[in-house]
Amino acid sequence: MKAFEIYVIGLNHKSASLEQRESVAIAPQELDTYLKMIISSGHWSEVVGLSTCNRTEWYVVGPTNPEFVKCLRTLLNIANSVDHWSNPEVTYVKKHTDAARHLFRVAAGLDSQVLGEPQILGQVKDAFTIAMEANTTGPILNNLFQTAFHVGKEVRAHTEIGAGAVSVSSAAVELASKIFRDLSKRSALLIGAGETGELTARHLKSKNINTLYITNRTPEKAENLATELEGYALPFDEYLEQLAEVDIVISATNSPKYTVEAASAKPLISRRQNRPLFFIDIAVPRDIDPSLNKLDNVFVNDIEDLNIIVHKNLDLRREEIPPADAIIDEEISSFTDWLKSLEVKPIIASLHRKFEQLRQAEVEKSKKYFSQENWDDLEKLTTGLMKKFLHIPMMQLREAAQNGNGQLKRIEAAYELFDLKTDHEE
Amino acid sequence: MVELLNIILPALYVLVTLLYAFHFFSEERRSGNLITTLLGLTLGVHLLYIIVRITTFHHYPTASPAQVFTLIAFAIGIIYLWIEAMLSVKSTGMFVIGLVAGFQLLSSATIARTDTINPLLQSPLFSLHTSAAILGYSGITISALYATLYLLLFYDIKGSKFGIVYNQLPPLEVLDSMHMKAASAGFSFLTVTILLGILWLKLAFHHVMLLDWKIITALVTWAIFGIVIASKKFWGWSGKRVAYFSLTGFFMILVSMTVVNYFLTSFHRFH
Repeated sequence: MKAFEIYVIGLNHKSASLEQRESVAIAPQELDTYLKMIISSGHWSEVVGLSTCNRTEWYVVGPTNPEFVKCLRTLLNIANSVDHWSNPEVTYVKKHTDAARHLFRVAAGLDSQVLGEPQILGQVKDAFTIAMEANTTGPILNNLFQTAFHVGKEVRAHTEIGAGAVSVSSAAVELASKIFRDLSKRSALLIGAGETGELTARHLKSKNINTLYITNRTPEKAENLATELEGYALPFDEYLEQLAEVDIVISATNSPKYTVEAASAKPLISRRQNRPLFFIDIAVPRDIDPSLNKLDNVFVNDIEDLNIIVHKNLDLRREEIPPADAIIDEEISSFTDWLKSLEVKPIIASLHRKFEQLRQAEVEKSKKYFSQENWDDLEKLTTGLMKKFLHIPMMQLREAAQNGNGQLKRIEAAYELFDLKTDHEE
Repeated sequence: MVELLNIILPALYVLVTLLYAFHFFSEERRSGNLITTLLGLTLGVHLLYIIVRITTFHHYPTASPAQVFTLIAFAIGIIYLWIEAMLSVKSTGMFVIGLVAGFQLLSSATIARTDTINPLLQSPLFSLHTSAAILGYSGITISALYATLYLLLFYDIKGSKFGIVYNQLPPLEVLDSMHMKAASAGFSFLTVTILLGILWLKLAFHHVMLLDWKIITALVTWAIFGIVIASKKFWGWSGKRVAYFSLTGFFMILVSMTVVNYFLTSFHRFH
């Protein structure tokens, strides 16, 4: 009797390989076509598609009918030219509160490959916006997704699920932030514009590092990155001089020898008047002479240190899963109440309509027994009586919907007793 | 009432310290505001205790080291509450309030049940001298605490230990800055204390007794903190070296308040 059902059908980094995920990934500009295709199948009234590098998921609303889900699998297989959508080991289907819980966990970053990563909430918002613009959302998915956004924010605000750096490059910046209060007043030197070095420089830039110098054996690479990050490129044979000036040095070269030797660095460091200098050595073999760590106000941390930080932070994030799930449980409960109230709405509307028709018919018949000046009173009297007669049945139906006890029987009984028709039948 | 508050107060500080310790070790963040509220209430009880003491014994409680300890505990508590609000960092609470609890326990355990005051100490100048001393000692105590926290984090980063100290403490630069702010405040109040003390001595005894253990330790402490401030400002000393100097200054204060007060002869023992 349930008028509708929420389903999610999808695959993610846990259920599918990278190749499988790639084969069903949809670019944002193509989502619109897929959404309209699913709606035009005639089975579903609402749909939102979420496609990121780690997941492709379709949230649909339609009648409770497993056959429709089968049809959707087939439709997606054809559209993506694959057969994964029919493979239950690769894809998952969840319905009703399980589907809602899944979306809430996704929005909160609990289902992400990097636990608690923040980008997913923005990606869920973008997916919903595309569906809204394509007119493929309705009251149920609107509410579901708005609640998911709220859950995403709540979990991040009230737990430490997003705390701490969980990549080597962000751990390097976190470590710098344990030494310096405000990176926007600090300068950094990047030695080696390779991938990890570049990522670290980008993280520093995102923390508003004041000045960024970049040096590389191939000067063009340094110049390109400096242009992109609004930094300054330095010739590779001049970077050592900067040790007297900059606050942070990131070294990430493939050099077999130290890029910063203690003997050559010490005279430059002595010119700093004990201002702290932080070396982040991301290279293997190491670039920075570790004996420099013995100097006061010089801190040298290498990739092994950064890995320790990453693992510790991931452990801390895992400890935040139970409190995050508790927040989700609360929201699921509110959302379920709302869904139940929605299920009983059609019968309440139908009941009200039926009685209103009866009332109006009787009023018309009875008007001849009353003078015209009493017609308003007749309207008021019959409307009042109708409301009083309907009050208890409607209240019982709403309660049944909230409690779920014998809901189906009561709704069926109401349909039979009052000979009601649904909106659709009418 | 005084007796009751004298028992309740250290118990409350111990409770708040334990809660801050739980907050520090469990890395549980949600209870933070509750602990701060409880600290605020405890400081309210402490203020009540001081008021009740003043109304019961009819003088400002500076007649004995035990009375001064409770004032120092109160001053440190208030200054800490202000620092916590400024920095939004609760992870240093365990250390500071632990120290407050220590001072209050010492005070409650040694404070006299009956109280008389030497008429010499009823001078307004003496009240100003002791008030400045209490603020100076509190500033120095807090600076020593931040110096300790600085060294803990410093050695953790140097030694690649990324445990609870690394996770919970604010950046080294913040600890250094708070250490220097507290040291500067402590040094300023200590300067005022010494000047007022000399002035009061001159008025009360008509001569200045500089060869007194209490005055010697106060002057040594003052000199150490003078070096701390100058070294940072003009000589570019490292945070580590300055932190060790501050701890030396704090050690002198401890000597002044314990060894000198209880074991050495000093004209500061007026009661």
